[in-house]
Amino acid sequence: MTHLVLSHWAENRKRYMLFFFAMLGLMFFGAICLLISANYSSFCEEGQMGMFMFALYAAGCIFSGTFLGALNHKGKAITFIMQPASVLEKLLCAMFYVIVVFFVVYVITFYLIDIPFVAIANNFKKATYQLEGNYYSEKFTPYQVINLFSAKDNTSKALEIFGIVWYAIFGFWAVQAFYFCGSTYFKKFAFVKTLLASFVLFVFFIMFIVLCFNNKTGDTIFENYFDENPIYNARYYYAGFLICFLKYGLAPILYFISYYHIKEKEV
Amino acid sequence: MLGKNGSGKSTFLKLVSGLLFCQSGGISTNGFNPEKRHPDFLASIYLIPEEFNLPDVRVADLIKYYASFYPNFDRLQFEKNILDFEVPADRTFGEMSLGQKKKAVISFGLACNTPILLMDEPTNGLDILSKSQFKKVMCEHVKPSQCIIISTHQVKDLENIINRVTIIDEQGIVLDKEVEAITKALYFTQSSDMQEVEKAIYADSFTKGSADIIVANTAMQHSNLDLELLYKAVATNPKPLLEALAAVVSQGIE
Repeated sequence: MTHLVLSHWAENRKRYMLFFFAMLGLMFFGAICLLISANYSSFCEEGQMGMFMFALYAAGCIFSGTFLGALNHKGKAITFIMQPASVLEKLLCAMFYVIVVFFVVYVITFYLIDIPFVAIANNFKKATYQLEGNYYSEKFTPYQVINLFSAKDNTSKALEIFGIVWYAIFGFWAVQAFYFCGSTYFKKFAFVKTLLASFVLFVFFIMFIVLCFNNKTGDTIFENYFDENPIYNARYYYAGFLICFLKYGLAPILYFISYYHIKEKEV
Repeated sequence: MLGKNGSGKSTFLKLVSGLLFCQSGGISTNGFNPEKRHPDFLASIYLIPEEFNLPDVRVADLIKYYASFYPNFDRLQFEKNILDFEVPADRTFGEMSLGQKKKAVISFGLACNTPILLMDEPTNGLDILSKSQFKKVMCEHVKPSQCIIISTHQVKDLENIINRVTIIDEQGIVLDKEVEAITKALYFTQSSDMQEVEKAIYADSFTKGSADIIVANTAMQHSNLDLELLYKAVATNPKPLLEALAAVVSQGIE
């Protein structure tokens, strides 16, 4: 397994370094654009969370969707299949890079951009605050860099933001698994086809939720589920099952399907 | 292994190595079912495909990251092969020509010392000197316990280094014989005698007043196997040649 991880790194380190710098550059460019066009208020906690999620989904889907692009290239596919390791080991190696390495590198990249830009945004905010003459009448409250790994405090708003972040991250792992699975399934233009498939499935999913689970008042099944005092009816349990499946079940199932795609891959 | 384009040479190598699965029947390679792609099986076989891929690393990195997958890998042998083939070890594979990459792959494949080594058109892309080096390296490093299957159209590059010839067509195996049995049954020569040419099992077209011919080796003389001529004979009219070979086999020479 260690040999596989190392050999994969040797083969792809240049590509991954380029990917890292491209991601860093695009996030820097995006942050500059936000600062110029949408004012410093984009760097409030909700804004930072939005940026984190948008870039995570975009970069993560590209990374996982092209990770096994080798399988669509005859020479590379032969090297991949003929490498003396089991399919499970090869899949675990791929999952290590796609899930662990990518996520860690992404979080580092995000904070490399986010921390200085939040500081810049705070300077702008402070300057505006002073210009507006509020300096002595109201206490200046700078924006805080979001902490993805713990809630800021025990207030319901902080806990809600923290909960949404982690729902979105679990959702991301499922979407990422879908793109990974697509790269093992489609023989040509795998990423584009997976992208189209994901849009189609997303539309079907929304239609499914709207048509099957909306009640007469127009609330989705998730409304009651997230209430502070939910009503424990059938809709509550449907919502619970669906959320649990999307959070913990979908990604493993998609990786399991990918395992069989790799196992049955012929060149 | 020789055969026309599309006769199934590469497909056979892919079936043996587990890259393709049988549509019917079964296949066993060195006691393994190749379709299962068991790690022990993959460590016991090395395929040098016609279309290959090398990571953009240096030669030394190839040993560092890939040699550990093959338990019988011989580092010294690999370094000697690289020297013999004059592969520039200081460059990455991305900076090498196709021929240099191919020589590096062949060097690595031979140094893996796997019981089974499969080569698909190994001399394609090699220059004239490299083809001679290929023969030399093959003769020096191949062990008797190894089974090496080479699929090629470049028959001249393999003369004197192979000990078995298999010719296939779309229907299946047309000829599968030891070189020794072939040269005992058939005599490969040149002739300018029209009568001898007409009587030959196979005669190539006249060039400069003589023709390459294959005749039955009734006098039990020794001749070097002319693979190209043998292939042409089998591809154009195999019946008389196979009859001559069968006659010798029935006499117990094989």
